[in-house]
Amino acid sequence: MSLLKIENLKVNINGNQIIKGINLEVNAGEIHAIMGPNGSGKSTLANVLAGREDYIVTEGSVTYMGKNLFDMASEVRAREGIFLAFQYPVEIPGVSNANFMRTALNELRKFRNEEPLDAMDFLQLMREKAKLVEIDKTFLNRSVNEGFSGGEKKRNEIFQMAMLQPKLAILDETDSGLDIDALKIVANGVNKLSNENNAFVVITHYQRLLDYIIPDFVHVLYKGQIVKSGTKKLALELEEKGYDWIKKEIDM
Amino acid sequence: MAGELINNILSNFYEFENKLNGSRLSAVHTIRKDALDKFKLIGFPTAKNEEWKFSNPGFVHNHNFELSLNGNDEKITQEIVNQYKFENLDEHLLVFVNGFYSARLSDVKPKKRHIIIGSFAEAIERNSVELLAYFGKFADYNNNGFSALNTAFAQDGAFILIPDGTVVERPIRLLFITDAREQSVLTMPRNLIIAGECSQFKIVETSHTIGSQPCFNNVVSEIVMDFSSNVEYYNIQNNNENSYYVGTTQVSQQRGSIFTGTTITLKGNYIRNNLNSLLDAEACETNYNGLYFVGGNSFVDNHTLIDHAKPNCNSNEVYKGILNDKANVVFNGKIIVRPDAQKTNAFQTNRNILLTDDAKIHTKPQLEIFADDVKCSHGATSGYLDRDSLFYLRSRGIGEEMAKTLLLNAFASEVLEKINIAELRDMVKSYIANKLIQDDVYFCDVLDQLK
Repeated sequence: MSLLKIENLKVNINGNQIIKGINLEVNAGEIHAIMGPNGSGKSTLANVLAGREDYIVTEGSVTYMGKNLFDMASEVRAREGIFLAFQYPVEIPGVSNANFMRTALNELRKFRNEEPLDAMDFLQLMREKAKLVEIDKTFLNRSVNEGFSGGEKKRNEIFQMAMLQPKLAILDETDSGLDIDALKIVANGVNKLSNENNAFVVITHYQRLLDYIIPDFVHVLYKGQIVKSGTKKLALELEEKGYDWIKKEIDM
Repeated sequence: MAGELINNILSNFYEFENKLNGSRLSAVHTIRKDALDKFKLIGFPTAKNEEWKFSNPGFVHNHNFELSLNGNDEKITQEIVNQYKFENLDEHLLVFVNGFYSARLSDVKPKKRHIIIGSFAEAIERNSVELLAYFGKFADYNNNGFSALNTAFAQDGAFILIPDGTVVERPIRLLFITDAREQSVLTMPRNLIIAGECSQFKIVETSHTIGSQPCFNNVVSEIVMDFSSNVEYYNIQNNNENSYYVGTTQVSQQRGSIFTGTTITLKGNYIRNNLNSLLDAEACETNYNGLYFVGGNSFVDNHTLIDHAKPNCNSNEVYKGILNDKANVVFNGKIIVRPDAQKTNAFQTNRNILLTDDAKIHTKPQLEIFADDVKCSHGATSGYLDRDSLFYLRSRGIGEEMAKTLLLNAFASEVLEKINIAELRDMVKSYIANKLIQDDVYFCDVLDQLK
């Protein structure tokens, strides 16, 4: 089943065209990796899909589960099952992780005409998911991302993903800044959540993460376009030859 | 117009004097007369006065405020008082009607001997030594027309004396009711609060207007704190749209004392709070916490002054504001560190969130430091809600309104969490939650529910 279909997408930020015609189809059960050098438009793509304002779509279409994605506000996209793991998670002093997730989960349940979770069930769910990404219980009381280390912030993103159970998860350089142990925890979280009904788009700069999350497809984004697609082998080739190899090929 | 009001006030004063009869020559009345002379000289402040630049109190001339010279609580029923009580809060309740103490409506619980929780008028009547010693000694009336006027008409209000070594557990509530159902009213309550050595207590002041005529409360409170006393003073301002309020609270602190002043402003037409502390001995601590969350056409001005006169004292001031609609707000935080006041720590922050383009904030930190071995800092910010935070919350499925609500609650919580009276904190929190959004089910923190 097709979850996401991007056709000829072009995006501007502050008058500069960053994405210059992307085509991509993601089906349920698939893991796609998007790689590419800095400034190629990877994060822009992720943010456009999540609905960040300031990004202006000038051309093309994105269809999510048969609906026009651009008709949905970012909270509606989230309720419909899109999740963005942020490259730079935001610190929100004064809002506890528990309250944040409870509000989000209850908004989701309301959207699906389900009863809100009671406090006991909610806490149990939270503890269970916290275990998955190996975060300490005390973190439930702490303000969202406030004073978290880089690794804790990224693990918190995966934790939120586990809580909300999205259909389409986009991981925006979740591996950047992680040490090898944290990387394994994050990857393990993703692997446990992955099933035939959901899909992952993993944006990464390095091949390293793909040793732990095995992608079905690898795409190389360069200058706002997907210039090469392949299997896991492509990622290994990139690791060996570097992005210059692609750049040369394209720029020729 | 201005002359008319002043003439009314003067004739009020002669009427007041005649009524005094034998006590016209008393020490208290000497101070009143002195204050009246000062008032005649300086009058009400205008925008030309630097301290009133953004808060021109022109309203005093635009309404025919009637000053009542006698207490009359007949028209206030117990039901009216009950609606202003805080749920489940066990408190010593002092009720004032148009500035005059009402014994019938008040409810002071059994207390230890020598503790006085009563009225200013009673204290004058029995020639209280403490009243004579402290009245008019701290709240300066030479430079402030409102304080001068209040001092000239000082008749009634709260008189609280907590003796040495005494801890009062129940909060002491000063509930001011202004009856503006029939005519516009001017009230001038005068409070004197005396904290003995090592005493400890909490005061909660609230003002409420019934009726729709304009009313003006011109309040002066003097708080005198002896060695190692600890006083928490809460002023919760949630009055109606026709209420004008000018309040001056002057705190005098002796060695080792801790004063915490919390001012929460939620509604009112014109509100000017002057909160001043004189740290006139070593090892004092002063904490000011403020939150204003106002909309409509409300005007709010918090003028604070922390005067470090002696070494080794700490002060900490946090004022936060959320401004909606066309709210117009002033924050002026003055900190003086005098040459003697070495080893002073003085910190101040003022943060504002504007929800509309029409809301206005004038913020002015004013640090005057004359000592060289001190740690002082200040910071003031104003801006809109953080867009990255909003997007983050929305990207998790939280609707825009709810996301704003969560962020504003979080913003306010720094101040609200410092309210040490749980019932009061809950009341203010739920009020704010309701003001933000009708559905407050989300604000009971899930972890609180399990406790």
